[in-house]
Amino acid sequence: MAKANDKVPNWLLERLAAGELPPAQAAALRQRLQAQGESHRLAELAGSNAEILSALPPGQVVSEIERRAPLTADKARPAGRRLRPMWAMSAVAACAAGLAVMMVVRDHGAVTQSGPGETQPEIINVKGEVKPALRIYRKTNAGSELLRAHASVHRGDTLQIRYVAAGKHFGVIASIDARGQITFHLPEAPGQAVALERDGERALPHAYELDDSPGFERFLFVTSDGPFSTAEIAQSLKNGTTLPAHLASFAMPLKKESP
Amino acid sequence: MAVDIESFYRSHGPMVLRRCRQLLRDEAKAVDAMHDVFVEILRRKDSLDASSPAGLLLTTATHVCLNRLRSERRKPEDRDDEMLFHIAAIENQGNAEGRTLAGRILDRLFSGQAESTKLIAVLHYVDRLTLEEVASEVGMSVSGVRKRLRTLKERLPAVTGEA
Repeated sequence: MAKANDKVPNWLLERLAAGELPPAQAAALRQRLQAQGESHRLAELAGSNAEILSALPPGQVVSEIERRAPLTADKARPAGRRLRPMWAMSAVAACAAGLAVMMVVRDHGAVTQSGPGETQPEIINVKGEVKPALRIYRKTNAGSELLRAHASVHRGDTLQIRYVAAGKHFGVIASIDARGQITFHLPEAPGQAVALERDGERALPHAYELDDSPGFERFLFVTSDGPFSTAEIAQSLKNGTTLPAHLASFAMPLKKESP
Repeated sequence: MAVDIESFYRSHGPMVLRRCRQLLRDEAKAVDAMHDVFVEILRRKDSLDASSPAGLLLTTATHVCLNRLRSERRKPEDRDDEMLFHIAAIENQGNAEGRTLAGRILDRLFSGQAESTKLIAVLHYVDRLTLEEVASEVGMSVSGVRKRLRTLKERLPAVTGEA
């Protein structure tokens, strides 16, 4: 039983303000609020409502909800996804592969970000600065192997995506295939860029099974120090235009080959 | 239930955002989660009960935020935040994708716990509703709520309270 001096939980305050509580409970809560000199909390909710609706106008929010809704419905149909989420690879295998990569990087010294003709997704530049990068591992019988840029991949390959944020605050990982279809991996649905783990190499929660789309699969890791939307990336990927100046990207193309 | 999403947002959107802010403690993430709460409502509109929309939205917001906290790596800010992370980490049977090692261990500890148990735990340990208030909110008996919480209390660290 709640005591008269127990602070009224926000949950119940919201339900009270919405007029959804049974009359007896609502009266008891109002009494508690009054006894504690906290009746102003109800009035503050009204002020907060106006403030939020002004900052996030219904038209803007509703169009974003409607934009997400069909995409979510698509996501709920596994057959509709190009890259099917799989069990994440064994942490031990992925960490072992990551360790091997770090050793390779140190042995080979500094290189630049990936691009055409590049063979290895290195992340340390000539000044020794760590840059944001993607690392994509393919599951093998023995564990996993790190894929190089333009590596050949096949339908049914299981890929684990890992990223190095190198201090960047927000990021999006997406891929596009030869048919122009875009898949978001981080976040897994269109929306706001995700707050990144800013140090070390971090695995996405899912591994992915490649489908049979032909040609290539190009993964893109877009980062920024400030929040941004996946819409900015989707537009650039679809139109082939450059990304806005406040966004940095790391590309990791893979060649899709028939088995 | 029929959903006019614009009027639904006007009447309840701010409440949903406040709930997401409370649980996620990050404005950008809270705004993003709020959108997803309404997307969930749209997806399930044919099977929802419209008799208490605020309760429905608060419950949906809690589940959406718990799902997000499951993959968060930030350090908890205080006891309530830490408790939320523990509750969020409880895995449901049959939801195998994306489990971390810690998640799988917790899954074994909490096997069979339903989403409703997470909600009960959040309401009691984080929102600080009494057992009677929780029971009323989730439509269970007080002894049923106590039983669910007792199972968690044996396993969650530093759980205090009347359960």
